[in-house]
Amino acid sequence: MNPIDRKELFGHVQRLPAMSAVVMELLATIDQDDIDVDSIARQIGRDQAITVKTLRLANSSFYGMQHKISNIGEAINVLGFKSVRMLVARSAITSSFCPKEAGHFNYGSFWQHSTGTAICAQEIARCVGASQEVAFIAGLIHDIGKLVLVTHYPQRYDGAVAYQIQNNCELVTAERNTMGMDHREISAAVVGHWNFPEKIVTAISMQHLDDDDPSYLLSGIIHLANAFAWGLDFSNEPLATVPVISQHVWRKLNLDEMQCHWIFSESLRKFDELSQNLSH
Amino acid sequence: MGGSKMIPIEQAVQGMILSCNITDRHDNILLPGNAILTPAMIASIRRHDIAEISVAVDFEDDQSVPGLDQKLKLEEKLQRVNQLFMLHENESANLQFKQYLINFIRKAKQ
Repeated sequence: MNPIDRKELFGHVQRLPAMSAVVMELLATIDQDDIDVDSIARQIGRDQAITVKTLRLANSSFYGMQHKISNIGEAINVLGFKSVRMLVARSAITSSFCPKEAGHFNYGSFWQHSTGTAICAQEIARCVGASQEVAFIAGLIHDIGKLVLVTHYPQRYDGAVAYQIQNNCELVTAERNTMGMDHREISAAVVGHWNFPEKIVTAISMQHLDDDDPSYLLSGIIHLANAFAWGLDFSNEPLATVPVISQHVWRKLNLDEMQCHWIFSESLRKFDELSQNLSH
Repeated sequence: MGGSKMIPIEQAVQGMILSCNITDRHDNILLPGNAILTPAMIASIRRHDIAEISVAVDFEDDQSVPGLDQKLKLEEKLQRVNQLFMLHENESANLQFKQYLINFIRKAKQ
Protein backbone atom coordinates (compact mmCIF):
# COMPACT_ATOMS: atom_id res chain seq x y z
CA MET A 1 0.00 0.00 0.00
CA ASN A 2 1.19 3.49 -0.86
CA PRO A 3 -0.88 5.84 1.34
CA ILE A 4 -2.04 9.18 0.02
CA ASP A 5 -0.30 12.18 1.58
CA ARG A 6 -2.96 13.35 4.04
CA LYS A 7 -1.58 16.88 4.25
CA GLU A 8 -1.75 17.27 0.48
CA LEU A 9 -5.26 15.79 0.32
CA PHE A 10 -6.66 18.01 3.05
CA GLY A 11 -5.00 20.94 1.29
CA HIS A 12 -7.19 20.13 -1.73
CA VAL A 13 -10.22 20.11 0.55
CA GLN A 14 -9.32 23.54 1.95
CA ARG A 15 -9.09 24.95 -1.58
CA LEU A 16 -12.62 23.82 -2.53
CA PRO A 17 -14.86 26.78 -3.44
CA ALA A 18 -16.88 28.19 -0.58
CA MET A 19 -20.65 27.92 -0.60
CA SER A 20 -22.61 31.01 -1.60
CA ALA A 21 -23.99 33.31 1.09
CA VAL A 22 -27.55 32.21 0.32
CA VAL A 23 -26.69 28.56 0.81
CA MET A 24 -24.72 29.19 3.98
CA GLU A 25 -27.63 31.12 5.41
CA LEU A 26 -30.03 28.33 4.52
CA LEU A 27 -27.80 25.67 6.01
CA ALA A 28 -27.29 27.68 9.18
CA THR A 29 -31.06 27.64 9.71
CA ILE A 30 -31.58 24.03 8.70
CA ASP A 31 -32.74 23.00 12.15
CA GLN A 32 -34.89 26.05 12.78
CA ASP A 33 -38.52 26.62 11.97
CA ASP A 34 -38.79 30.25 13.12
CA ILE A 35 -36.93 31.89 10.25
CA ASP A 36 -37.60 34.92 8.12
CA VAL A 37 -38.97 33.17 5.04
CA ASP A 38 -39.55 36.41 3.12
CA SER A 39 -35.96 37.50 3.55
CA ILE A 40 -34.54 34.18 2.37
CA ALA A 41 -37.03 34.01 -0.50
CA ARG A 42 -35.72 37.37 -1.70
CA GLN A 43 -32.15 36.09 -1.57
CA ILE A 44 -33.00 32.91 -3.43
CA GLY A 45 -34.68 35.07 -6.07
CA ARG A 46 -31.30 36.67 -6.81
CA ASP A 47 -29.80 33.32 -7.82
CA GLN A 48 -31.10 32.63 -11.31
CA ALA A 49 -30.10 28.94 -11.55
CA ILE A 50 -31.73 28.04 -8.24
CA THR A 51 -34.82 30.08 -9.08
CA VAL A 52 -35.29 28.29 -12.41
CA LYS A 53 -35.01 24.84 -10.82
CA THR A 54 -37.36 25.71 -7.99
CA LEU A 55 -39.99 27.08 -10.37
CA ARG A 56 -39.64 24.05 -12.66
CA LEU A 57 -40.39 21.73 -9.75
CA ALA A 58 -43.28 23.84 -8.47
CA ASN A 59 -44.79 23.78 -11.98
CA SER A 60 -44.35 20.02 -12.43
CA SER A 61 -47.39 17.83 -12.92
CA PHE A 62 -46.77 16.33 -9.48
CA TYR A 63 -48.17 19.39 -7.75
CA GLY A 64 -51.06 19.71 -10.23
CA MET A 65 -51.26 23.49 -10.16
CA GLN A 66 -53.93 25.03 -12.38
CA HIS A 67 -51.84 28.10 -13.16
CA LYS A 68 -48.17 28.77 -13.77
CA ILE A 69 -46.03 29.54 -10.72
CA SER A 70 -43.79 32.42 -11.68
CA ASN A 71 -42.05 33.62 -8.51
CA ILE A 72 -40.18 32.15 -5.57
CA GLY A 73 -42.70 33.33 -2.99
CA GLU A 74 -45.48 31.41 -4.71
CA ALA A 75 -43.19 28.39 -5.20
CA ILE A 76 -42.51 28.34 -1.46
CA ASN A 77 -46.26 28.30 -0.86
CA VAL A 78 -46.64 25.31 -3.20
CA LEU A 79 -43.57 23.29 -2.25
CA GLY A 80 -43.18 24.39 1.34
CA PHE A 81 -40.17 26.31 2.60
CA LYS A 82 -38.38 23.20 3.80
CA SER A 83 -38.53 21.59 0.34
CA VAL A 84 -37.19 24.76 -1.26
CA ARG A 85 -34.39 24.88 1.28
CA MET A 86 -33.44 21.30 0.44
CA LEU A 87 -33.53 22.04 -3.29
CA VAL A 88 -31.27 25.04 -2.89
CA ALA A 89 -28.77 23.06 -0.85
CA ARG A 90 -28.81 20.23 -3.39
CA SER A 91 -28.27 22.59 -6.27
CA ALA A 92 -25.36 24.34 -4.52
CA ILE A 93 -23.67 21.10 -3.50
CA THR A 94 -23.96 19.38 -6.88
CA SER A 95 -22.64 22.43 -8.72
CA SER A 96 -19.54 22.66 -6.52
CA PHE A 97 -17.80 19.92 -8.52
CA CYS A 98 -17.36 19.82 -12.29
CA PRO A 99 -18.79 16.76 -14.03
CA LYS A 100 -16.01 14.31 -14.65
CA GLU A 101 -15.89 10.86 -16.23
CA ALA A 102 -12.67 9.25 -15.04
CA GLY A 103 -11.95 5.58 -15.55
CA HIS A 104 -14.37 3.62 -13.39
CA PHE A 105 -16.12 6.73 -12.05
CA ASN A 106 -19.48 7.80 -13.41
CA TYR A 107 -20.56 11.24 -12.25
CA GLY A 108 -24.23 10.69 -13.15
CA SER A 109 -24.43 7.43 -11.21
CA PHE A 110 -22.70 9.09 -8.29
CA TRP A 111 -25.37 11.79 -7.97
CA GLN A 112 -28.17 9.29 -8.56
CA HIS A 113 -26.97 7.25 -5.61
CA SER A 114 -26.42 10.37 -3.49
CA THR A 115 -29.89 11.71 -4.29
CA GLY A 116 -31.41 8.27 -3.61
CA THR A 117 -29.63 8.13 -0.25
CA ALA A 118 -30.86 11.65 0.58
CA ILE A 119 -34.47 10.71 -0.14
CA CYS A 120 -34.25 7.38 1.73
CA ALA A 121 -32.68 9.23 4.68
CA GLN A 122 -35.52 11.73 4.63
CA GLU A 123 -38.12 8.95 4.68
CA ILE A 124 -36.33 6.97 7.41
CA ALA A 125 -36.07 10.18 9.46
CA ARG A 126 -39.80 10.68 9.04
CA CYS A 127 -40.43 7.17 10.41
CA VAL A 128 -38.16 7.57 13.43
CA GLY A 129 -39.11 11.16 14.24
CA ALA A 130 -35.80 12.81 13.29
CA SER A 131 -35.27 15.98 11.25
CA GLN A 132 -36.06 15.11 7.62
CA GLU A 133 -34.19 18.09 6.23
CA VAL A 134 -30.98 17.37 8.08
CA ALA A 135 -31.20 13.72 7.04
CA PHE A 136 -31.76 14.71 3.39
CA ILE A 137 -28.71 16.99 3.30
CA ALA A 138 -26.51 14.51 5.16
CA GLY A 139 -27.57 11.74 2.76
CA LEU A 140 -26.85 13.93 -0.22
CA ILE A 141 -23.29 14.66 0.81
CA HIS A 142 -22.37 11.41 2.55
CA ASP A 143 -20.09 10.31 -0.33
CA ILE A 144 -18.74 13.72 -1.34
CA GLY A 145 -15.20 12.58 -0.47
CA LYS A 146 -15.28 10.35 -3.55
CA LEU A 147 -15.42 13.47 -5.71
CA VAL A 148 -12.27 14.82 -4.07
CA LEU A 149 -10.51 11.52 -4.74
CA VAL A 150 -11.70 11.32 -8.35
CA THR A 151 -10.81 14.96 -9.01
CA HIS A 152 -7.32 14.94 -7.49
CA TYR A 153 -6.28 11.28 -7.49
CA PRO A 154 -8.09 9.68 -10.45
CA GLN A 155 -5.52 6.92 -10.92
CA ARG A 156 -5.47 6.05 -7.23
CA TYR A 157 -9.27 5.91 -7.25
CA ASP A 158 -9.19 3.60 -10.27
CA GLY A 159 -6.67 1.47 -8.40
CA ALA A 160 -9.06 1.19 -5.46
CA VAL A 161 -11.91 0.13 -7.78
CA ALA A 162 -9.64 -2.44 -9.45
CA TYR A 163 -8.76 -3.77 -5.98
CA GLN A 164 -12.49 -3.94 -5.17
CA ILE A 165 -13.15 -6.01 -8.29
CA GLN A 166 -10.19 -8.34 -7.73
CA ASN A 167 -10.99 -8.92 -4.07
CA ASN A 168 -14.78 -8.77 -4.27
CA CYS A 169 -14.93 -6.38 -1.34
CA GLU A 170 -16.59 -3.07 -0.48
CA LEU A 171 -15.12 0.15 -1.86
CA VAL A 172 -14.25 1.54 1.59
CA THR A 173 -12.18 -1.58 2.28
CA ALA A 174 -10.44 -1.22 -1.08
CA GLU A 175 -9.75 2.47 -0.42
CA ARG A 176 -8.26 1.80 3.00
CA ASN A 177 -6.09 -1.01 1.66
CA THR A 178 -4.80 0.96 -1.32
CA MET A 179 -4.78 4.57 -0.12
CA GLY A 180 -4.65 4.36 3.67
CA MET A 181 -7.97 6.16 4.13
CA ASP A 182 -11.53 5.92 2.87
CA HIS A 183 -13.82 8.47 1.28
CA ARG A 184 -15.94 8.83 4.43
CA GLU A 185 -13.10 10.57 6.27
CA ILE A 186 -12.64 12.92 3.31
CA SER A 187 -16.41 13.54 3.11
CA ALA A 188 -16.40 14.65 6.75
CA ALA A 189 -13.45 16.99 6.04
CA VAL A 190 -15.25 18.56 3.04
CA VAL A 191 -18.43 19.08 5.00
CA GLY A 192 -16.46 20.54 7.90
CA HIS A 193 -14.76 22.93 5.45
CA TRP A 194 -18.18 24.06 4.27
CA ASN A 195 -19.20 24.74 7.89
CA PHE A 196 -22.10 22.32 7.85
CA PRO A 197 -23.67 21.61 11.25
CA GLU A 198 -21.44 19.41 13.43
CA LYS A 199 -24.00 16.60 13.63
CA ILE A 200 -23.88 16.22 9.84
CA VAL A 201 -20.07 16.08 9.92
CA THR A 202 -20.22 13.39 12.61
CA ALA A 203 -22.96 11.45 10.82
CA ILE A 204 -21.20 11.14 7.49
CA SER A 205 -17.92 10.12 9.09
CA MET A 206 -19.96 7.01 10.03
CA GLN A 207 -18.42 6.94 13.47
CA HIS A 208 -20.49 6.17 16.56
CA LEU A 209 -22.73 3.77 14.63
CA ASP A 210 -22.90 1.50 17.66
CA ASP A 211 -23.47 4.32 20.13
CA ASP A 212 -26.94 4.45 21.70
CA ASP A 213 -26.72 8.18 22.45
CA PRO A 214 -29.67 9.83 20.64
CA SER A 215 -27.35 12.52 19.30
CA TYR A 216 -25.86 9.86 17.03
CA LEU A 217 -29.22 8.81 15.57
CA LEU A 218 -28.38 10.61 12.31
CA SER A 219 -25.31 8.37 11.78
CA GLY A 220 -27.58 5.33 11.85
CA ILE A 221 -30.12 6.94 9.51
CA ILE A 222 -27.43 7.72 6.91
CA HIS A 223 -25.88 4.28 7.31
CA LEU A 224 -29.21 2.58 6.62
CA ALA A 225 -30.27 5.05 3.92
CA ASN A 226 -27.03 4.31 2.05
CA ALA A 227 -27.78 0.57 2.17
CA PHE A 228 -31.41 1.15 1.10
CA ALA A 229 -30.26 3.32 -1.81
CA TRP A 230 -27.90 0.60 -3.05
CA GLY A 231 -30.65 -2.01 -2.63
CA LEU A 232 -33.15 0.14 -4.53
CA ASP A 233 -30.48 0.44 -7.22
CA PHE A 234 -30.81 4.16 -7.91
CA SER A 235 -27.35 4.31 -9.48
CA ASN A 236 -27.60 1.27 -11.79
CA GLU A 237 -23.88 0.80 -11.21
CA PRO A 238 -22.69 -2.61 -12.45
CA LEU A 239 -20.42 -2.92 -9.40
CA ALA A 240 -23.08 -1.82 -6.93
CA THR A 241 -23.35 -3.87 -3.78
CA VAL A 242 -25.39 -3.47 -0.61
CA PRO A 243 -22.88 -2.88 2.20
CA VAL A 244 -23.04 -4.62 5.56
CA ILE A 245 -25.86 -3.14 7.62
CA SER A 246 -24.94 -2.76 11.27
CA GLN A 247 -27.16 -5.05 13.32
CA HIS A 248 -27.03 -2.44 16.07
CA VAL A 249 -28.40 0.27 13.74
CA TRP A 250 -31.04 -2.08 12.35
CA ARG A 251 -32.30 -2.85 15.85
CA LYS A 252 -32.05 0.77 17.00
CA LEU A 253 -34.11 2.15 14.11
CA ASN A 254 -36.48 -0.80 14.47
CA LEU A 255 -38.35 -0.38 11.18
CA ASP A 256 -40.94 -3.05 10.50
CA GLU A 257 -41.69 -4.45 7.04
CA MET A 258 -44.64 -2.16 6.46
CA GLN A 259 -42.56 0.93 7.26
CA CYS A 260 -39.77 -0.32 5.00
CA HIS A 261 -42.22 -0.85 2.12
CA TRP A 262 -43.49 2.66 2.63
CA ILE A 263 -39.94 4.03 2.62
CA PHE A 264 -39.11 2.08 -0.58
CA SER A 265 -42.25 3.24 -2.31
CA GLU A 266 -41.96 6.92 -1.32
CA SER A 267 -38.25 7.00 -2.10
CA LEU A 268 -38.75 5.58 -5.59
CA ARG A 269 -41.61 7.98 -6.28
CA LYS A 270 -39.73 11.04 -5.04
CA PHE A 271 -36.57 10.03 -6.87
CA ASP A 272 -38.51 9.83 -10.15
CA GLU A 273 -40.10 13.16 -9.45
CA LEU A 274 -36.79 14.86 -8.71
CA SER A 275 -35.08 13.21 -11.69
CA GLN A 276 -37.79 14.40 -14.06
CA ASN A 277 -37.74 17.96 -12.85
CA LEU A 278 -34.16 18.66 -11.93
CA SER A 279 -30.85 18.21 -13.57
CA HIS A 280 -27.70 18.43 -11.52
CA MET B 1 -56.76 -15.66 -24.26
CA GLY B 2 -53.77 -17.88 -23.57
CA GLY B 3 -52.51 -21.29 -24.62
CA SER B 4 -49.22 -22.98 -25.31
CA LYS B 5 -46.86 -23.77 -28.12
CA MET B 6 -43.76 -25.84 -28.68
CA ILE B 7 -40.55 -23.95 -29.30
CA PRO B 8 -37.01 -25.19 -29.97
CA ILE B 9 -34.84 -24.88 -26.88
CA GLU B 10 -32.65 -22.45 -28.83
CA GLN B 11 -35.56 -19.96 -28.79
CA ALA B 12 -36.14 -20.25 -25.05
CA VAL B 13 -35.41 -17.04 -23.19
CA GLN B 14 -35.36 -16.03 -19.59
CA GLY B 15 -38.83 -15.14 -18.31
CA MET B 16 -40.86 -17.51 -20.53
CA ILE B 17 -43.37 -19.63 -18.62
CA LEU B 18 -43.46 -23.41 -19.03
CA SER B 19 -46.96 -24.60 -19.93
CA CYS B 20 -46.35 -28.17 -18.72
CA ASN B 21 -43.87 -30.23 -16.75
CA ILE B 22 -40.53 -31.02 -18.31
CA THR B 23 -39.54 -34.61 -17.63
CA ASP B 24 -36.49 -36.69 -18.36
CA ARG B 25 -36.51 -40.03 -20.21
CA HIS B 26 -37.50 -41.79 -16.97
CA ASP B 27 -40.48 -39.43 -16.47
CA ASN B 28 -38.84 -37.70 -13.52
CA ILE B 29 -39.99 -34.08 -13.36
CA LEU B 30 -37.09 -31.76 -14.08
CA LEU B 31 -39.13 -28.55 -14.04
CA PRO B 32 -42.79 -28.05 -13.20
CA GLY B 33 -45.34 -26.35 -15.46
CA ASN B 34 -45.76 -22.61 -14.73
CA ALA B 35 -42.05 -22.31 -13.88
CA ILE B 36 -40.55 -19.04 -15.09
CA LEU B 37 -37.43 -19.86 -17.06
CA THR B 38 -34.10 -18.58 -15.82
CA PRO B 39 -30.77 -18.87 -17.67
CA ALA B 40 -29.77 -21.69 -15.27
CA MET B 41 -32.97 -23.61 -16.06
CA ILE B 42 -32.46 -23.20 -19.80
CA ALA B 43 -28.88 -24.48 -19.47
CA SER B 44 -30.14 -27.43 -17.43
CA ILE B 45 -32.77 -28.32 -20.06
CA ARG B 46 -30.06 -28.25 -22.73
CA ARG B 47 -27.85 -30.55 -20.66
CA HIS B 48 -30.67 -33.09 -20.70
CA ASP B 49 -30.69 -32.99 -24.52
CA ILE B 50 -34.30 -31.79 -24.62
CA ALA B 51 -34.82 -30.23 -28.05
CA GLU B 52 -38.24 -28.57 -27.60
CA ILE B 53 -40.27 -27.18 -24.73
CA SER B 54 -43.88 -26.05 -24.38
CA VAL B 55 -44.34 -22.45 -23.25
CA ALA B 56 -47.37 -20.29 -22.54
CA VAL B 57 -48.50 -18.03 -25.40
CA ASP B 58 -51.23 -15.50 -26.07
CA PHE B 59 -53.42 -16.61 -29.01
CA GLU B 60 -54.32 -13.02 -29.83
CA ASP B 61 -50.68 -12.23 -30.40
CA ASP B 62 -48.80 -15.39 -31.10
CA GLN B 63 -45.52 -13.48 -31.23
CA SER B 64 -45.68 -12.72 -27.54
CA VAL B 65 -46.10 -14.71 -24.38
CA PRO B 66 -48.77 -13.36 -21.99
CA GLY B 67 -47.29 -11.52 -19.05
CA LEU B 68 -43.84 -12.19 -20.45
CA ASP B 69 -42.62 -8.63 -20.18
CA GLN B 70 -43.85 -8.34 -16.63
CA LYS B 71 -42.52 -11.75 -15.61
CA LEU B 72 -39.26 -11.01 -17.36
CA LYS B 73 -38.92 -7.70 -15.58
CA LEU B 74 -39.78 -9.31 -12.26
CA GLU B 75 -37.23 -12.05 -12.84
CA GLU B 76 -34.61 -9.51 -13.89
CA LYS B 77 -35.29 -7.38 -10.83
CA LEU B 78 -35.02 -10.37 -8.50
CA GLN B 79 -31.77 -11.45 -10.14
CA ARG B 80 -30.41 -7.93 -9.72
CA VAL B 81 -31.41 -7.98 -6.04
CA ASN B 82 -29.51 -11.26 -5.61
CA GLN B 83 -26.49 -9.68 -7.25
CA LEU B 84 -26.67 -6.55 -5.09
CA PHE B 85 -26.86 -8.57 -1.88
CA MET B 86 -24.35 -11.28 -2.84
CA LEU B 87 -21.36 -9.88 -0.96
CA HIS B 88 -23.01 -9.84 2.47
CA GLU B 89 -25.98 -12.13 2.02
CA ASN B 90 -25.44 -13.87 5.35
CA GLU B 91 -25.46 -10.74 7.52
CA SER B 92 -28.69 -10.85 9.48
CA ALA B 93 -29.81 -7.22 8.91
CA ASN B 94 -28.97 -7.54 5.22
CA LEU B 95 -31.01 -10.76 5.04
CA GLN B 96 -34.02 -9.05 6.56
CA PHE B 97 -33.69 -6.03 4.29
CA LYS B 98 -33.36 -8.30 1.25
CA GLN B 99 -36.50 -10.23 2.19
CA TYR B 100 -38.46 -6.97 2.71
CA LEU B 101 -37.24 -5.74 -0.67
CA ILE B 102 -38.15 -8.96 -2.50
CA ASN B 103 -41.63 -8.91 -0.94
CA PHE B 104 -41.98 -5.27 -1.95
CA ILE B 105 -40.97 -5.97 -5.57
CA ARG B 106 -43.32 -8.96 -5.84
CA LYS B 107 -46.18 -6.96 -4.32
CA ALA B 108 -45.55 -4.03 -6.69
CA LYS B 109 -45.68 -6.38 -9.71
CA GLN B 110 -49.06 -7.89 -8.76
